[in-house]
Amino acid sequence: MIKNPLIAILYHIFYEDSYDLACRELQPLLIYQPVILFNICVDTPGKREMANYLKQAFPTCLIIFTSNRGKDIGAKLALFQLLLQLEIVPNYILLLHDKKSLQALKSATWKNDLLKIITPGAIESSLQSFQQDKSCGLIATKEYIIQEPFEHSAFTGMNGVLLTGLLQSYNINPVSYAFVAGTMFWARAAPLLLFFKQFNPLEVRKHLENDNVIDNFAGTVTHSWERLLSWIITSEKLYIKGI
Amino acid sequence: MEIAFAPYYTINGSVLLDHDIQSNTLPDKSVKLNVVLDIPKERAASLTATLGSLENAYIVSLPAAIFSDETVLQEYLPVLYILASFDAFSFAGEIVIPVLCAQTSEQQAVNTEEIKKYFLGQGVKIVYMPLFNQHEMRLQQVGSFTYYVQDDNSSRPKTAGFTIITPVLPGMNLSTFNNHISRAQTTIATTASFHENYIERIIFDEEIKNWEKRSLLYRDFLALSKSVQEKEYYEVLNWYHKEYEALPLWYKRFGHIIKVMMGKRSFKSLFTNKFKKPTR
Repeated sequence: MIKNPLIAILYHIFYEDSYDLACRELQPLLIYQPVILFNICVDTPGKREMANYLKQAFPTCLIIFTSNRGKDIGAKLALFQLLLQLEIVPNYILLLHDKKSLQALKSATWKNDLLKIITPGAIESSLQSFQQDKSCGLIATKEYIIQEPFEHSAFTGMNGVLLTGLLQSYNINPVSYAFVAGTMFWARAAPLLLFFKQFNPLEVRKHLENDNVIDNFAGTVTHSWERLLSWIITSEKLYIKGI
Repeated sequence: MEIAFAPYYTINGSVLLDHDIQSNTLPDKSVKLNVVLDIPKERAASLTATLGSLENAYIVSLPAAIFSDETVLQEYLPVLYILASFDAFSFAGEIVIPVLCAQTSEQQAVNTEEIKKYFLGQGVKIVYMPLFNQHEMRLQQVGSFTYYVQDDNSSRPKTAGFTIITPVLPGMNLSTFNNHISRAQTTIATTASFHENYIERIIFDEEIKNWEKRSLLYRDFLALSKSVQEKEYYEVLNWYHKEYEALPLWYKRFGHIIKVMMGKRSFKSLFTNKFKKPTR
């Protein structure tokens, strides 16, 4: 049992009005004294003012600015590099971003649903789940734990071809093809840190697409990595718990 | 028109790390730093933590003697990218990574193209990498960047753009650095606003571009949401046709009778074509 687990929060900001949102969302987590790393997109208007405000609200946080490569996935990869570079070894990692998905019909409820994982009750129960069940690797909102379609030994979804190639290249062998859509989840840190020590996150990031790509019409490397971030963990025989 | 210089005071990364700079050891938060990356890879974590929490704006310089080694360069590229991505770095307004050489012959040694290519791979299109001779006493001008060895008696250089000043003191420690800055600051105090104007202009232009890009992005979102929602609409419609409309007519009619029996619709409605909107 870990008495005071170290939590690292990797939070990506893309929208210019996300400061209040980030502050509000992170409040329940502050009692755990987490390491907070922000990435703000370089294209975000008013980014320097936002960085100043964030520094005031979270004095120990570190902030980087990176280009809009790979959307929130690329940003989180840059934050993984920062985490590794700082040689911080957290027990658990919380991935968050200011998701809006304005193009989607259900965008209004999407983010709220995903944020169930950081309500005070959910934080406590998530940490307990990790501590009590060693095979629990990921915790996310259950409605967003999606099964990637796989029939007759092949992926049948839009990202299928890319996924097959990436799983081979990075030697990832998940026990199931369930993943967390939206990439906001609690994760046991060890598998992710181990993986990114082997495969530099910025090397991965350079293969992602620029700007706001979507996978509604064709597969993308970015959306494939959305799945792989879950599968890096589940390939270690760990499962995803829904809350 | 001559514009007063915009100083970034050069200090070795190792000197920063040898002191607890978080406890107000630097003279002034307004002093901008040019941090020479002269540390071994083992100290990269400490330098990352230090620069990440630094309130002073800074840029990072590469000593050619270290970075001309291809293996060292490859190891350092991710580290360099993160150091150049911190918010305090961004107050330079643009990504400038000077290369400092001990002698002119070293100037070609650092593979600046490799560094630029790496940054491009991370989505950074423009990285300025002026090369300077670190020990040359005369003022060196590379593009809009100037390198200048400050001594107390020298006259001030007047130039547009960045100026990277170096105290270049062998065995420099933090107190000699601070003394140097306090002397240098008195000579540039009257012209500091020129420098601020230069950076502010870069940042202001960047902000305008970002707002323009953002308005185009929201316009794209509107167009995109139309096509995405149209796709979702047809997916639902196709599903309906496949799963319901394809059923035989007698089956569907039988379904309506079941609805009447379950109280979901009235018996009378079976004999009229008028659609009655369900009330909640």
